Amino acid sequence: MAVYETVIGLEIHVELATNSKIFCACATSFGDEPNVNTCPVCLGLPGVMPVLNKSVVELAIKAGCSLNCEINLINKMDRKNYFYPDLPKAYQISQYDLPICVNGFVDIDKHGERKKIGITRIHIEEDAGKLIHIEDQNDTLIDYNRGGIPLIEIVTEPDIRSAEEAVTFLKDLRGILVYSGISDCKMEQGSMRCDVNISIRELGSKTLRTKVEIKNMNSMKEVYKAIKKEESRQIELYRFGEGYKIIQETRRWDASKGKTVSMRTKEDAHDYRYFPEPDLPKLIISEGQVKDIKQSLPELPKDKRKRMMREYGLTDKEARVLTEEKLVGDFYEAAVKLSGKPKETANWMMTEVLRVLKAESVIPITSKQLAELIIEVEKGTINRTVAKEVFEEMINTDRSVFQIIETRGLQQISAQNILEEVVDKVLTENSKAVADYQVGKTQSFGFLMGQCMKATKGQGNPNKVRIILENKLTQ
Amino acid sequence: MKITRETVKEMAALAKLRLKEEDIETYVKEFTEILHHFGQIGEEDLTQWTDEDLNSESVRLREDKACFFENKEGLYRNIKNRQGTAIRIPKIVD
Amino acid sequence: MGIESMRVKDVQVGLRRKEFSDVELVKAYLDRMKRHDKNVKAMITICEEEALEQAAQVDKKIADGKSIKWMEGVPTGLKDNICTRGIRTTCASKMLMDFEPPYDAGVVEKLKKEGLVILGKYNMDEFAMGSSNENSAFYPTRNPWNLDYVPGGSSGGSAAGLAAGFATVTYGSDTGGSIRMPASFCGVVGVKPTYGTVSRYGLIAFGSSLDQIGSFGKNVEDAACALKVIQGHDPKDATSREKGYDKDYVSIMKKGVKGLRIGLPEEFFGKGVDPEVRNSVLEGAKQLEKEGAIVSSFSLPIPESGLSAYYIISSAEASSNLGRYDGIRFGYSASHCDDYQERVISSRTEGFGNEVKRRIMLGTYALSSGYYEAYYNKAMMFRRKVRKLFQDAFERYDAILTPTVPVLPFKIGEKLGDPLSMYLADIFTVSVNLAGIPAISMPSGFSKSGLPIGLQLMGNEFSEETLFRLAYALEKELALDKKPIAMEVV
Repeated sequence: MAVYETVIGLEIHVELATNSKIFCACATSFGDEPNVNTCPVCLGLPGVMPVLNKSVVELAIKAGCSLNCEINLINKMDRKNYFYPDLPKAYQISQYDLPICVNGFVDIDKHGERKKIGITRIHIEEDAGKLIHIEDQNDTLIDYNRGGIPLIEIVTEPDIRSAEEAVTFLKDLRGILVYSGISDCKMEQGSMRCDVNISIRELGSKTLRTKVEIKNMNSMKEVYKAIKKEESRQIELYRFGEGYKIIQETRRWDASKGKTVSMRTKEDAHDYRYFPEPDLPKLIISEGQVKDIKQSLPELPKDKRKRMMREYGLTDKEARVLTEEKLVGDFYEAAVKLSGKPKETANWMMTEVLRVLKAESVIPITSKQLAELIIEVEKGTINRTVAKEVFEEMINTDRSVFQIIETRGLQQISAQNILEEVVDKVLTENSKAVADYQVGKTQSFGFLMGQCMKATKGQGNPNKVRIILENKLTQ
Repeated sequence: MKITRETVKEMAALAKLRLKEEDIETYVKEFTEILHHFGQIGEEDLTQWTDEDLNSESVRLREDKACFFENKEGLYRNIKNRQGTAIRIPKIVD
Repeated sequence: MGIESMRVKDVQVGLRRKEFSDVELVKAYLDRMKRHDKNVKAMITICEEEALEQAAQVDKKIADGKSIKWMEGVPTGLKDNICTRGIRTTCASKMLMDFEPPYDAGVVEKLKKEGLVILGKYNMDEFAMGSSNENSAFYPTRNPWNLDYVPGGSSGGSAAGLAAGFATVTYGSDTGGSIRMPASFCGVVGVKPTYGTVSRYGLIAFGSSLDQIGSFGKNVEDAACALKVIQGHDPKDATSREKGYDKDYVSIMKKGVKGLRIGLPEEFFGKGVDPEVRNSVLEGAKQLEKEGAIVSSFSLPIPESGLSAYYIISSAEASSNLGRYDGIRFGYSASHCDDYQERVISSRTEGFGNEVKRRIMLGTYALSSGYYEAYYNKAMMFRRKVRKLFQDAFERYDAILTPTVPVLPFKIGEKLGDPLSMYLADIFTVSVNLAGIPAISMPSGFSKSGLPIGLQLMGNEFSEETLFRLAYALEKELALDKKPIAMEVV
């Protein structure tokens, strides 16, 4: 029976993190009233002209550098002509045959080994407006606030072989772009969009078969599901000798139905009639500018992970979790610098801090506060259980560790005589448990420990209490 | 490059124009004549002119500063069909 | 002095000497429009209220003893493809019949800053496509020298209106000769400046790599003054040049022409040129020689292919520029259509005139896959050749002299049924736009039938001052401006 191989290439559109649009000074903010962030230029009124935003060029070069691309020092803008209601000028200013970046790659991790995913090209283009369909209305509304928002389109080589690889690649790409400050890459908000090109061939074959484009996936999960679905759809057809039914088309991922659906195309393959944009002379970039931008790149996720594993003795998993978001990694390192306890700090990050971040979308304490907390535990001022309480209070108020310990009298009790008194009392009051323990019921020890900790309102130094209890029980 | 009725219809469709049946013949004739005349440019030997002229000035760029377009009323006044500030068109089925 | 004969100098002096107020001046022009425009049909919109208000402000300044700017108070008019905020700008098309731009074009900002008074918006060929002003959706403009004849196009209204005495200076746009050709047909001076020296922001685009706004004047000095006001860098236009503007045309042009080398390209004086036109223009060249210029012939084999390249490139760019006209955000909307696609198609079909539709389809064809190489790409290659040929020519010559149009003004309706023959009228003007160089058309004489003939001077980039020098000297020699203005006869 034939073994099939999945061949996948991705086209990713990323919104650049600029203050103003690509060709006019309208704001790029999200979620405002329809058409409030528009002007004659981005509405395509008669007589208007585009002027290219400096930041767009810088961020595009930065993206190219962060993805190991060659920068085309001379590149140009072109018009892509087609009619659609979200496209005011009836052409999109994009880049056709001379894009700003070419020939890059991203190294992804494939079962412990490195795999290179090639980046064919990156080009600059403008976004279109948004069509709003309202349930019971017989019309469609258009909001051009998004029209003219700067995008880069990143096209990969068909080097991806599975849904898992695709998602791994997207996660790595997102990490790189977010770290570099190029975009916030929020798929759910649309600042990162992914289209998939997928075809199937027999394993070992070098030729590519008919590919299908899939659109409309709003999260990494949906990308995964859509690829899996389309992959099996195509393989099924090949297996039954109906491969001819696979046509080069665009299919829409329908999340509610869980399958890809053929889009009713009114026109055949578009004839975009590309030609150079006459209103924008060529873009000429200097080697010096590229060098400067390359040097300004921050440490990217992969390098950061490696370094953190080395410097802090973290595992690969720990490093990955801590570098998934740039602010988490930065927070962690700042905290370690102060606390001097990388493993402890990692633990706190992964259990408590990330939990809060997920719930509240921000970390409401400073790295200094976390470090102070960890230091106090190390010093023995409080134990870990109490520390968790302190943490909670820090999250909800803006008081410091010391203030909280102080005002609530949470210092750990380590004084031998006090603890001995407590243990004696507990043993006296729980003679049955003591008896049980002495006939071999070891779980009674746990019960007695619990009683001791309760008696100290949790502030007893657990190790000390344990030793004292053990001693007294064996007497 | 023969211009046929089909060619003219295709051109009109791409340009979102509707032509009257009776006008198509006229267009075929006109376009044939015009394109034949202008197509003679193909007879020029232009092999040495394939390279772009390297006008050394790069396109002038704009500072990334957001600025609000004040005259929104003037902007919206030209829109024939609106719902609030959104533009209204007959329903689009994707 | 009749208002129709007033030059810029007369207005400047008259205002400062308080011989008349600006309001009186503006009223006189408006009156003249009301009397004669029913025959000439040069106007689309007359801005009576706004103009009188602006004039009143000028008068107040003068009354208060304040000094006014050098061109302040001079009444002018604009071709109706230049956006004026709050004043409808139609491109003489049904498509934009009620379009009110929410912003001023770059040149309008400059005109307002310098204090010129805008009297109105002038008729033109629809979307600047045409050479006779017969393609206007409103009505054809008529040549003031003989109302049965076309004024030329596409800035026919600006040229005819000026010749008929409706303003002191006017402005038009030139993509393939649209200023120079009507200037020639209407017996006035028309200037197309170096590409990039006048802002295109707010000029409703036709052929973006070819369009430039330029000036009309009844004499060379007026055209030069009018040009000086609008030239200059505009950050809203990315093709706007940053340097080369600080030249004082008015004083430089009086320097005389001794030693200036003038080239006469053979291909522009051959068989297809009307003998009266040829003789008149050659006479002009002889006059310049008498004044000390060095005149010689040379070969410049560009007219035929230049015309083809021009029509391919301009139609291609136009087909793209005009895609935005769908009635959705502005302009004519076929609201009777319930289906979106139908609405767009109907709006465009009903809103555009025939010539516009023709060029859009031709342009679409030239860009479409399969034909891009044969048409658009070839045209762009030829354009590079034209640029180089001109560059080479300007090493040997300071200016090139040709007829502006190979034929005399033709009758209204004469060329309407034959688009190709209409296109051929542009054959001597288009190469200038392909190369982006400046050119002036000035009156060189009249035909036996009393129709104006125009002479064209082309120069290298930024050589407007040389062209003005030559034109000024020739104008003095020919002394044509002493002839009676046609409107009195009408």
